[in-house]
Amino acid sequence: MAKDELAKDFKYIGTRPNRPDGYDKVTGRAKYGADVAAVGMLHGAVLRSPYAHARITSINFEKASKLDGVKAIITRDDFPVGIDGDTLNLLENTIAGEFAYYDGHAIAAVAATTVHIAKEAINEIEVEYEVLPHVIDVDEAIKPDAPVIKNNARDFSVPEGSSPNVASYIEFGTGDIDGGFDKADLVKSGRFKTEAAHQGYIEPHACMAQLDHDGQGEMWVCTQGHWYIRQMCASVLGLEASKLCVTPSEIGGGFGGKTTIFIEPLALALSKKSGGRPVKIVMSRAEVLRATGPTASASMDVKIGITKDGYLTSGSVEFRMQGGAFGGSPVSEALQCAFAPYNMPAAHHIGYDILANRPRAAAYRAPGSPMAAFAVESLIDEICTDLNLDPIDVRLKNAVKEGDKSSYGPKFKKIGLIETLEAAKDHPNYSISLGDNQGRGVAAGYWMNHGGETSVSVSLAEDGSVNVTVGTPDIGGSRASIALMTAETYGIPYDSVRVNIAETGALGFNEPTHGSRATLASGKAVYEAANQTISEMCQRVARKWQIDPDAVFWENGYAKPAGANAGDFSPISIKQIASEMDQTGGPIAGHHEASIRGVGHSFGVHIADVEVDPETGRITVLRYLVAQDAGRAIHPSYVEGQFQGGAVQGIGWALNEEYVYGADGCLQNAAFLDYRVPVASDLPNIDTIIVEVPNPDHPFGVRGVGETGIAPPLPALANAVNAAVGARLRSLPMSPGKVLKTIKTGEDGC
Amino acid sequence: MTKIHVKTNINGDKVEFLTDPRETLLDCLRNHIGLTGSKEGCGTGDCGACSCIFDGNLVSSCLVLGVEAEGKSIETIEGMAGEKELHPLQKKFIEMAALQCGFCTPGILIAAKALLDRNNDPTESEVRYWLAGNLCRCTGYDKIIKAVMETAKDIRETA
Amino acid sequence: MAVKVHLWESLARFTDNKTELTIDADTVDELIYILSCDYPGLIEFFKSGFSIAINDEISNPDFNDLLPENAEIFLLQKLKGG
Repeated sequence: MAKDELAKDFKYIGTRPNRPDGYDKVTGRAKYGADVAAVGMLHGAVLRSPYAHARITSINFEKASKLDGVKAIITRDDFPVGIDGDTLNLLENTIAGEFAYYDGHAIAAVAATTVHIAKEAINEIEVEYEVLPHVIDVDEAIKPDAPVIKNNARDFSVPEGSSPNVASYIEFGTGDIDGGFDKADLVKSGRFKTEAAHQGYIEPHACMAQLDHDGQGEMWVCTQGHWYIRQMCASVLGLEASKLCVTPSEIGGGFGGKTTIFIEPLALALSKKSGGRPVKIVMSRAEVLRATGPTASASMDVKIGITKDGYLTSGSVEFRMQGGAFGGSPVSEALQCAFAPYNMPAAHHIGYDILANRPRAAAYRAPGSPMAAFAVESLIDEICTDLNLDPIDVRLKNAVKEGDKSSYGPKFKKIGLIETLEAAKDHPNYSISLGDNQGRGVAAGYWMNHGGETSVSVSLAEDGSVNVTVGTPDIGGSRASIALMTAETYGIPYDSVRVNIAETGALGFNEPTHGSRATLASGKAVYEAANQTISEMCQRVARKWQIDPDAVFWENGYAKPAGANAGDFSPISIKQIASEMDQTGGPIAGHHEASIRGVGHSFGVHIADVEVDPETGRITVLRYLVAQDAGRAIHPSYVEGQFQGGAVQGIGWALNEEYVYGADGCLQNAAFLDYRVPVASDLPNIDTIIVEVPNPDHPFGVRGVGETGIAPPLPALANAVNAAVGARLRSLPMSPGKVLKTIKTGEDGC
Repeated sequence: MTKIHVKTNINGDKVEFLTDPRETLLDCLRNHIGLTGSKEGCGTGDCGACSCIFDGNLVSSCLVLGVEAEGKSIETIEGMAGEKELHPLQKKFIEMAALQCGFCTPGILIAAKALLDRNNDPTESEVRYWLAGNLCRCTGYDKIIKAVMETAKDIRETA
Repeated sequence: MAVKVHLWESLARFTDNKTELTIDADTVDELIYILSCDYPGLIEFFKSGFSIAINDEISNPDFNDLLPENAEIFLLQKLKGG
């Protein structure tokens, strides 16, 4: 679509209709991962390591297998050998081989006729462990005397002489770093630390799987991406991908955590071993916290130079992130996000992906960006305080815009950081006066967004309504946004579009709903597919009128003759064309498959007001503002919802949430009572400003809105706490005890 | 373990089921009666996704044993809508986009209804504290709180 | 077509410490092939998966993409979204 069309008025886009799956979800009818059952179904349970690091010397399941109702027991011996690379890591994390690498690592699994019997059987399995030394903290893990978690864990990128617990290394930069610091009037540096946080989706992982000895199988599973599940299960089990049909259930939240496998291959293997009976496995909350992916913990050194009037001259970061026992922390993304909002004449980035005896990190909303923002945006705030500069003005002076080179290389296309900063500055929240022990914090955040592999189809029903089939599970209203874009493309009512999420056999490969891509990528693909059907409809009408197809055009749900040369015909509606399909050549359908391009970068600016109780260290969030460039808000309510939900996850990470390990390396807070996500009474309303600087490379201007919002809260709250009581915390979470200590001693918590 | 025969009333219907005495009311609702609208998010009474009304009281059904249902009256999300239309809270939640993934929604609707049945003029703080036992990870609660406040207002205006 | 390829410094160990290379290649496939032949140390990087920016457009690589004359190309680590 031409750029000038981006400014046009839309009929449906930007409205707020009811979501199509609303009824199902308010009546309890919607089927999530654990909500299905099948005839002859067995229940699975998983035995997990009680040690952070151990050699498994023997597994004896003779007693367990004799229990009445036990139908299958599997260990690593039931999985293929000869697997290597990333697939080996996936398999090792699914079920331990020689070593258990973290508290909660799966050792064996049982299928039985009831859940109770399966759990009894788990308790009867006898495992002998040789307990090995463990390491939990990211900085401890690279000390010379740290326990070596795996030999040969490092990849090609790790320089000789690095700690054996370094899995990968990355370094990039631009400009003259030292020269930049020489030009600065103030150079400031600091170390910042963040703890691992869990995605905390309320729905635990659940699946029901069936696999026969001929290699054909089916699975029902809550996941962000069922093609990923198919690909990963097929690779660790040695199956042919197309023989495994994976159907996504409704999904009770994912935030990145449901983009990989955990229990799914176990359920398939149990089914196969029990003669092809369906096996359902549902994780407990404790299992979710102990054994699925939280995000990485991070230790970060930052140095920034600035002139006294607020222009950045140079910046360097060294980030060390542990992503569990298999590597895979989002350190590369963190580095890309670190200085992305700013024009840095010189910037240098170093990152280490480090192993520790913790669960394998999974993606979590804007992976890496929140940690990077905490370190960089906190330090920029410290600089603003030292130089007595307005934090939004400093960001405006240095903000990137169209044509500027990003801190990681490529130039930005049209972006909306400046507009977002200005909108935040103009909002009433920025000028409300504050009382004693109250403070205001500002921070920016960035996510690059993602297109990804996408396949969709669109078909006309005989009454002129439209079915859209996509492969991106709907986690937060994407059926509504895709239906709006479809309605806009055809010029038919929103209610005449039904969006289905299809199983793996119905479409080509789709990446998950991740990277803020569902509305951007599926929306763009649906636009292309719908236009194929429009072109087909115009051709059929041209045949009917016996004129050239180019003389027919489409407008507001009608095929119309294009001007005087085309002749004098009455427009024909989509309803009529559809009703005549069977007499004009048969079904009308379109499809589109591509790695979607034209991604639009997304920037956000948050303003947080807090009050700190100087006697207890408790932080109360008084008010909170999210301003973010959405490109175009297709369904503004769900865009606001993404902003608000992201912000509150960031608030939880900043204030409460952390993985607490004992000296034995075991997780001590594997329950929602102790791993405390924000509750309604912790929070104020979350105010939002949707900034719209349309993405010129998307037919409707979409950028993707899901992820950016989680990054700024971490520094915004730390900056607000400092403004309130002069306590600069450089370590998260800012739990009351830590805040109190910083108030009293001035220590930053690192 | 020998199963126990339980007679109870769910959403106005007489229901009988057999339960292993170790099973929770939530297990029975979901696995024996086929009412899967109540969800298990934690199994420890922390998340509220399994909220039900048990003889007039708001409970986490994961903390109630199935055998305790004997002779009681239970309301679940499946019984919330009327025959002709949704409950005003259900309608408002859809209209105001007060759900994203929808997994916590049944429990939040049950809990919010229990509040409005007692008090149709709650303050925002009262709503926030009443719902503090219902975790939502998607929305940040903003639209949920607003939807409950708006529904209360509608109920007062039509009363 | 002569194109300019930018590599992150951590890959420069494999390219005689060069972070900018000018390569004569018509397609992404040809570019990767030439780089792999000239600098075999990069093969592991390519195998690990990567994203590519061609004239500032970042996407998954399409190996059949034609490269415009004087294109500026960045090879980036594969993006993980949440």
